[in-house]
Amino acid sequence: MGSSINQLTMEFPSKAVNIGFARTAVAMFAAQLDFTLDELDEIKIAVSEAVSNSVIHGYKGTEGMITIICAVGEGALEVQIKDEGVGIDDIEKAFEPAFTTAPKERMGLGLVFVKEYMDELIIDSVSGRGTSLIMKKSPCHNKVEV
Amino acid sequence: MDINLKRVGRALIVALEGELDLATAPRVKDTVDQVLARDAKLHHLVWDLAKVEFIDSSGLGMLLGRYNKISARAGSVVLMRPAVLVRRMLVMAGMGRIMQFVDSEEQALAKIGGDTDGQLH
Ligand SMILES: Nc1ncnc2c1ncn2[C@@H]1O[C@H](COP(=O)(O)OP(=O)(O)OP(=O)(O)O)[C@@H](O)[C@H]1O
Ligand SMILES: [Mg+2]
Repeated sequence: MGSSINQLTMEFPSKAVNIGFARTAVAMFAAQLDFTLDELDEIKIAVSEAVSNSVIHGYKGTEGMITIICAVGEGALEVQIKDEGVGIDDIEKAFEPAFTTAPKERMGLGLVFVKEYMDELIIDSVSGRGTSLIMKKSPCHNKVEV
Repeated sequence: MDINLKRVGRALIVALEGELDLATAPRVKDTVDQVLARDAKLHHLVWDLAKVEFIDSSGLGMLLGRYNKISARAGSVVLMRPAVLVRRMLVMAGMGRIMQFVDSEEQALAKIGGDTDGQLH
Protein backbone atom coordinates (compact mmCIF):
# COMPACT_ATOMS: atom_id res chain seq x y z
CA MET A 1 0.00 0.00 0.00
CA GLY A 2 2.19 2.80 -1.32
CA SER A 3 0.03 5.76 -0.41
CA SER A 4 -0.76 4.56 3.08
CA ILE A 5 -1.47 7.28 5.58
CA ASN A 6 -1.03 5.13 8.65
CA GLN A 7 0.46 1.76 9.44
CA LEU A 8 0.78 -0.71 12.30
CA THR A 9 3.03 -3.74 12.57
CA MET A 10 2.69 -6.41 15.24
CA GLU A 11 4.74 -9.52 15.80
CA PHE A 12 3.91 -12.15 18.40
CA PRO A 13 4.43 -15.85 19.10
CA SER A 14 1.77 -18.31 17.95
CA LYS A 15 -0.03 -18.68 21.28
CA ALA A 16 -3.81 -18.91 21.44
CA VAL A 17 -3.94 -16.20 24.13
CA ASN A 18 -2.60 -13.68 21.61
CA ILE A 19 -5.51 -14.11 19.19
CA GLY A 20 -7.91 -11.93 21.18
CA PHE A 21 -5.31 -9.21 21.48
CA ALA A 22 -4.54 -9.33 17.75
CA ARG A 23 -8.16 -9.00 16.59
CA THR A 24 -8.90 -6.22 19.06
CA ALA A 25 -5.79 -4.26 18.07
CA VAL A 26 -6.60 -4.52 14.36
CA ALA A 27 -10.22 -3.44 14.97
CA MET A 28 -9.05 -0.45 17.02
CA PHE A 29 -6.62 0.50 14.26
CA ALA A 30 -9.39 0.09 11.66
CA ALA A 31 -11.66 2.40 13.66
CA GLN A 32 -9.83 5.44 12.25
CA LEU A 33 -11.85 4.80 9.08
CA ASP A 34 -15.58 5.19 9.52
CA PHE A 35 -16.47 1.53 9.76
CA THR A 36 -19.74 0.67 11.51
CA LEU A 37 -19.56 -1.40 14.71
CA ASP A 38 -20.81 -4.39 12.71
CA GLU A 39 -18.03 -3.94 10.20
CA LEU A 40 -15.45 -3.75 12.99
CA ASP A 41 -16.86 -7.03 14.34
CA GLU A 42 -16.49 -8.57 10.89
CA ILE A 43 -12.85 -7.45 10.77
CA LYS A 44 -12.33 -9.03 14.20
CA ILE A 45 -13.68 -12.34 12.95
CA ALA A 46 -11.51 -12.30 9.82
CA VAL A 47 -8.37 -11.56 11.87
CA SER A 48 -9.28 -14.19 14.44
CA GLU A 49 -9.70 -16.82 11.73
CA ALA A 50 -6.44 -15.99 9.99
CA VAL A 51 -4.37 -15.91 13.19
CA SER A 52 -6.04 -19.09 14.48
CA ASN A 53 -5.12 -20.83 11.23
CA SER A 54 -1.48 -19.81 11.65
CA VAL A 55 -1.49 -21.19 15.21
CA ILE A 56 -3.40 -24.40 14.45
CA HIS A 57 -2.30 -25.32 10.93
CA GLY A 58 0.76 -23.20 10.19
CA TYR A 59 2.71 -24.04 13.32
CA LYS A 60 0.67 -27.08 14.43
CA GLY A 61 0.92 -26.13 18.07
CA THR A 62 4.67 -25.52 17.99
CA GLU A 63 5.84 -21.98 18.53
CA GLY A 64 6.61 -19.64 15.66
CA MET A 65 6.16 -15.97 14.95
CA ILE A 66 3.07 -14.39 13.42
CA THR A 67 3.30 -10.96 11.82
CA ILE A 68 0.41 -8.59 11.19
CA ILE A 69 0.83 -5.47 9.11
CA CYS A 70 -2.16 -3.12 8.92
CA ALA A 71 -2.40 -0.06 6.75
CA VAL A 72 -5.10 2.47 6.00
CA GLY A 73 -5.09 4.66 2.96
CA GLU A 74 -7.58 5.90 0.38
CA GLY A 75 -10.48 4.95 2.59
CA ALA A 76 -9.53 1.29 2.77
CA LEU A 77 -8.04 -1.00 5.36
CA GLU A 78 -5.46 -3.58 4.34
CA VAL A 79 -4.35 -6.29 6.75
CA GLN A 80 -1.59 -8.76 6.05
CA ILE A 81 -1.24 -11.77 8.37
CA LYS A 82 1.69 -14.09 7.83
CA ASP A 83 3.38 -17.09 9.34
CA GLU A 84 6.44 -19.13 8.49
CA GLY A 85 4.73 -22.42 9.09
CA VAL A 86 4.02 -25.48 6.95
CA GLY A 87 2.18 -23.63 4.17
CA ILE A 88 -0.90 -24.74 2.25
CA ASP A 89 -0.59 -27.52 -0.32
CA ASP A 90 -3.76 -26.78 -2.26
CA ILE A 91 -5.10 -23.25 -1.81
CA GLU A 92 -8.21 -23.83 -3.91
CA LYS A 93 -9.20 -26.76 -1.71
CA ALA A 94 -8.50 -24.75 1.45
CA PHE A 95 -11.26 -22.33 0.41
CA GLU A 96 -13.91 -25.02 0.05
CA PRO A 97 -16.48 -24.98 2.86
CA ALA A 98 -16.06 -28.00 5.14
CA PHE A 99 -12.55 -28.69 3.88
CA THR A 100 -10.18 -29.13 6.79
CA THR A 101 -6.91 -30.93 7.38
CA ALA A 102 -7.32 -30.75 11.17
CA PRO A 103 -8.14 -34.03 12.90
CA LYS A 104 -11.13 -33.07 15.04
CA GLU A 105 -13.90 -30.57 15.64
CA ARG A 106 -12.93 -28.20 12.83
CA MET A 107 -15.68 -27.19 10.44
CA GLY A 108 -13.52 -25.87 7.63
CA LEU A 109 -15.26 -22.51 7.79
CA GLY A 110 -12.53 -20.04 8.78
CA LEU A 111 -11.54 -18.99 5.26
CA VAL A 112 -15.20 -18.95 4.22
CA PHE A 113 -15.83 -16.34 6.94
CA VAL A 114 -12.80 -14.29 5.88
CA LYS A 115 -14.08 -14.23 2.30
CA GLU A 116 -17.59 -13.35 3.43
CA TYR A 117 -16.58 -10.51 5.75
CA MET A 118 -13.74 -8.86 3.84
CA ASP A 119 -13.98 -7.22 0.40
CA GLU A 120 -10.87 -8.84 -0.96
CA LEU A 121 -8.64 -11.74 0.05
CA ILE A 122 -5.34 -12.79 -1.43
CA ILE A 123 -3.58 -15.91 -0.15
CA ASP A 124 0.02 -16.58 -0.92
CA SER A 125 1.44 -19.80 0.43
CA VAL A 126 4.47 -21.94 -0.26
CA SER A 127 4.50 -25.49 1.05
CA GLY A 128 7.09 -25.75 3.80
CA ARG A 129 7.74 -22.00 3.85
CA GLY A 130 4.65 -20.30 5.21
CA THR A 131 1.43 -18.50 4.44
CA SER A 132 0.46 -14.89 3.90
CA LEU A 133 -3.10 -13.58 3.82
CA ILE A 134 -3.80 -10.09 2.58
CA MET A 135 -7.31 -8.84 3.17
CA LYS A 136 -8.93 -5.54 2.31
CA LYS A 137 -12.10 -3.82 3.40
CA SER A 138 -13.67 -0.39 2.95
CA PRO A 139 -16.45 1.09 5.05
CA CYS A 140 -19.78 0.54 3.32
CA HIS A 141 -21.46 3.94 3.60
CA ASN A 142 -24.46 2.85 1.58
CA LYS A 143 -25.52 0.36 4.19
CA VAL A 144 -28.86 1.22 5.78
CA GLU A 145 -28.54 1.29 9.56
CA VAL A 146 -31.54 0.09 11.56
CA MET B 1 -14.32 -16.94 29.73
CA ASP B 2 -16.73 -17.56 32.60
CA ILE B 3 -18.49 -20.91 32.57
CA ASN B 4 -21.58 -21.47 34.71
CA LEU B 5 -23.21 -24.87 34.91
CA LYS B 6 -26.69 -25.71 36.08
CA ARG B 7 -28.61 -28.94 35.95
CA VAL B 8 -32.33 -29.04 35.34
CA GLY B 9 -33.50 -32.63 35.27
CA ARG B 10 -31.86 -34.28 32.29
CA ALA B 11 -30.64 -31.01 30.84
CA LEU B 12 -27.31 -29.29 31.42
CA ILE B 13 -27.52 -25.52 31.11
CA VAL B 14 -24.18 -23.93 30.28
CA ALA B 15 -24.01 -20.15 30.59
CA LEU B 16 -20.94 -18.61 28.98
CA GLU B 17 -19.59 -15.13 29.42
CA GLY B 18 -16.79 -13.62 27.35
CA GLU B 19 -15.17 -14.42 24.02
CA LEU B 20 -15.29 -17.89 22.52
CA ASP B 21 -12.18 -18.59 20.45
CA LEU B 22 -9.15 -20.88 20.30
CA ALA B 23 -7.93 -19.55 23.66
CA THR B 24 -11.17 -20.30 25.52
CA ALA B 25 -13.10 -23.01 23.63
CA PRO B 26 -10.89 -25.90 24.87
CA ARG B 27 -11.74 -25.10 28.51
CA VAL B 28 -15.46 -25.01 27.77
CA LYS B 29 -15.11 -28.31 25.90
CA ASP B 30 -13.23 -29.99 28.78
CA THR B 31 -15.60 -28.68 31.44
CA VAL B 32 -18.76 -29.77 29.62
CA ASP B 33 -17.30 -33.11 28.52
CA GLN B 34 -16.29 -33.92 32.10
CA VAL B 35 -19.81 -33.30 33.35
CA LEU B 36 -21.33 -35.32 30.51
CA ALA B 37 -18.90 -38.19 31.09
CA ARG B 38 -19.73 -38.30 34.81
CA ASP B 39 -23.47 -38.29 34.27
CA ALA B 40 -24.96 -40.52 31.60
CA LYS B 41 -28.44 -39.32 32.56
CA LEU B 42 -27.76 -35.90 31.08
CA HIS B 43 -29.39 -35.97 27.66
CA HIS B 44 -29.81 -32.34 26.70
CA LEU B 45 -27.64 -29.30 26.46
CA VAL B 46 -28.77 -25.68 26.68
CA TRP B 47 -26.18 -23.06 25.76
CA ASP B 48 -26.94 -19.68 27.33
CA LEU B 49 -25.06 -17.40 24.94
CA ALA B 50 -26.49 -14.05 26.03
CA LYS B 51 -23.13 -12.89 27.39
CA VAL B 52 -20.93 -14.25 24.61
CA GLU B 53 -19.41 -11.21 22.94
CA PHE B 54 -17.49 -12.97 20.21
CA ILE B 55 -17.39 -16.33 18.47
CA ASP B 56 -15.26 -17.65 15.64
CA SER B 57 -14.82 -21.03 13.99
CA SER B 58 -13.03 -22.48 17.03
CA GLY B 59 -16.09 -21.74 19.16
CA LEU B 60 -18.44 -23.04 16.49
CA GLY B 61 -16.42 -26.25 16.14
CA MET B 62 -16.58 -26.74 19.91
CA LEU B 63 -20.39 -26.32 19.88
CA LEU B 64 -20.71 -28.80 17.02
CA GLY B 65 -18.51 -31.31 18.86
CA ARG B 66 -20.79 -31.17 21.92
CA TYR B 67 -23.84 -31.44 19.62
CA ASN B 68 -22.42 -34.69 18.26
CA LYS B 69 -21.99 -36.06 21.80
CA ILE B 70 -25.54 -35.14 22.78
CA SER B 71 -26.92 -36.58 19.54
CA ALA B 72 -25.25 -39.87 20.42
CA ARG B 73 -27.42 -39.82 23.58
CA ALA B 74 -30.49 -39.05 21.46
CA GLY B 75 -30.82 -35.68 23.19
CA SER B 76 -31.18 -32.19 21.83
CA VAL B 77 -29.15 -28.99 21.95
CA VAL B 78 -30.69 -25.56 22.34
CA LEU B 79 -29.10 -22.16 21.74
CA MET B 80 -30.40 -19.48 24.08
CA ARG B 81 -30.49 -15.75 23.24
CA PRO B 82 -27.28 -15.22 21.26
CA ALA B 83 -26.42 -11.60 20.39
CA VAL B 84 -26.92 -10.55 16.77
CA LEU B 85 -23.36 -11.15 15.57
CA VAL B 86 -23.04 -14.47 17.38
CA ARG B 87 -26.39 -15.57 15.97
CA ARG B 88 -25.26 -14.65 12.46
CA MET B 89 -22.16 -16.82 12.88
CA LEU B 90 -24.22 -19.73 14.22
CA VAL B 91 -26.60 -19.47 11.29
CA MET B 92 -23.78 -19.20 8.75
CA ALA B 93 -22.27 -22.35 10.21
CA GLY B 94 -25.56 -24.17 9.69
CA MET B 95 -26.31 -24.60 13.42
CA GLY B 96 -29.87 -23.37 12.89
CA ARG B 97 -30.63 -26.57 11.00
CA ILE B 98 -29.61 -28.90 13.82
CA MET B 99 -30.15 -26.86 16.98
CA GLN B 100 -33.04 -24.66 18.06
CA PHE B 101 -32.83 -20.99 18.96
CA VAL B 102 -34.80 -19.88 22.02
CA ASP B 103 -35.25 -16.66 24.01
CA SER B 104 -35.61 -17.96 27.55
CA GLU B 105 -34.89 -20.88 29.83
CA GLU B 106 -38.59 -21.78 29.96
CA GLN B 107 -38.66 -21.94 26.19
CA ALA B 108 -35.47 -23.99 26.20
CA LEU B 109 -36.93 -26.52 28.61
CA ALA B 110 -40.17 -26.61 26.64
CA LYS B 111 -38.21 -27.45 23.47
CA ILE B 112 -36.55 -30.30 25.26
CA GLY B 113 -40.06 -31.59 25.60
CA GLY B 114 -40.62 -31.73 29.32
CA ASP B 115 -37.87 -34.34 29.53
CA THR B 116 -36.67 -32.99 32.85
CA ASP B 117 -37.70 -35.75 35.27
CA GLY B 118 -39.76 -33.06 36.95
CA GLN B 119 -36.90 -32.28 39.28
CA LEU B 120 -35.35 -28.86 39.47
CA HIS B 121 -31.93 -28.27 41.00
N1 LIG C 1 -1.83 -20.47 7.90
C1 LIG C 1 -2.05 -21.71 7.43
N2 LIG C 1 -1.03 -22.61 7.34
C2 LIG C 1 -1.23 -23.86 6.87
N3 LIG C 1 -2.43 -24.33 6.44
C3 LIG C 1 -3.48 -23.48 6.49
C4 LIG C 1 -3.36 -22.15 6.98
N4 LIG C 1 -4.58 -21.55 6.90
C5 LIG C 1 -5.41 -22.47 6.39
N5 LIG C 1 -4.76 -23.64 6.13
C6 LIG C 1 -5.35 -24.86 5.53
O1 LIG C 1 -6.61 -24.53 4.97
C7 LIG C 1 -7.64 -25.36 5.54
C8 LIG C 1 -8.93 -24.59 5.60
O2 LIG C 1 -8.85 -23.51 6.55
P1 LIG C 1 -10.17 -22.98 7.25
O3 LIG C 1 -9.81 -21.94 8.22
O4 LIG C 1 -11.16 -22.63 6.20
O5 LIG C 1 -10.74 -24.28 7.99
P2 LIG C 1 -10.16 -24.98 9.32
O6 LIG C 1 -9.20 -24.09 10.00
O7 LIG C 1 -9.68 -26.34 8.95
O8 LIG C 1 -11.48 -25.13 10.19
P3 LIG C 1 -12.18 -23.94 11.03
O9 LIG C 1 -11.59 -22.66 10.53
O10 LIG C 1 -13.64 -24.04 10.73
O11 LIG C 1 -11.84 -24.19 12.45
C9 LIG C 1 -7.08 -25.81 6.87
O12 LIG C 1 -7.66 -27.02 7.32
C10 LIG C 1 -5.60 -25.96 6.54
O13 LIG C 1 -5.34 -27.20 5.90
MG1 LIG D 1 -9.58 -22.09 10.40
